[in-house]
Amino acid sequence: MIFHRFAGGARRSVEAALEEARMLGHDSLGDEDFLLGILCTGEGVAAEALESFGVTLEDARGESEAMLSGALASIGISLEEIRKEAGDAFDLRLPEKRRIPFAPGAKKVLERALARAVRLGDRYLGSEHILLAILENAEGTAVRMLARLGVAPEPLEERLFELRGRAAG
Amino acid sequence: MALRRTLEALEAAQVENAFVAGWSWARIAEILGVSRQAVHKKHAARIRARYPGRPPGGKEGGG
Repeated sequence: MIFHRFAGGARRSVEAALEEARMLGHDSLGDEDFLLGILCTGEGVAAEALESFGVTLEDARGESEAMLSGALASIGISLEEIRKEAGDAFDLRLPEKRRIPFAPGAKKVLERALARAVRLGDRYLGSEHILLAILENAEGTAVRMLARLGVAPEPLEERLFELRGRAAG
Repeated sequence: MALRRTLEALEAAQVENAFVAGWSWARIAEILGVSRQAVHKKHAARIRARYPGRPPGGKEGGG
């Protein structure tokens, strides 16, 4: 894959994304997990841009759970009731040994991130390229999650380029 | 995806709760509608690791 072209920050955010996915019980890695991963590492202009809009890791985790709960509620299942009935033994976290594959959308995010890096003339693939790629997919879970947190893709992208410019200058 | 994972976690939780309550693997298997071997293979290692020293449920026999 393109893993070897990852800059440290991007690699760490992907690793963190996998850990977040495991913790939240996502049995495949979705584009919203990349968002969580970026927030988890807190590194780079991608995390800085998100934080400047007041998006925190805790909020994003909460939103992820709320979206899961909402999806279940739409088919008449209450996550809250399940929690209450099953007690502490109910744990969505995935076991350590379980491999978490990339969802098709997440694979595309990495491909688009690489394309973005190339188009921008960057010689590395950073977490900001991953964030840009996430924002390109208006149908994605990550963009929906950000919308629920009151953040639209366009201003976030603008802020990202602003911070990039500042870091470069 | 959400539903599948939730069901999986719910099954794991209820099997664990049943084990703690002293149910036999046979009775747990019956409720789940699978064979005793299947439930044992899927859950026994995880649950025994969590409750070392506890005898396998089964005082109700049938196991």
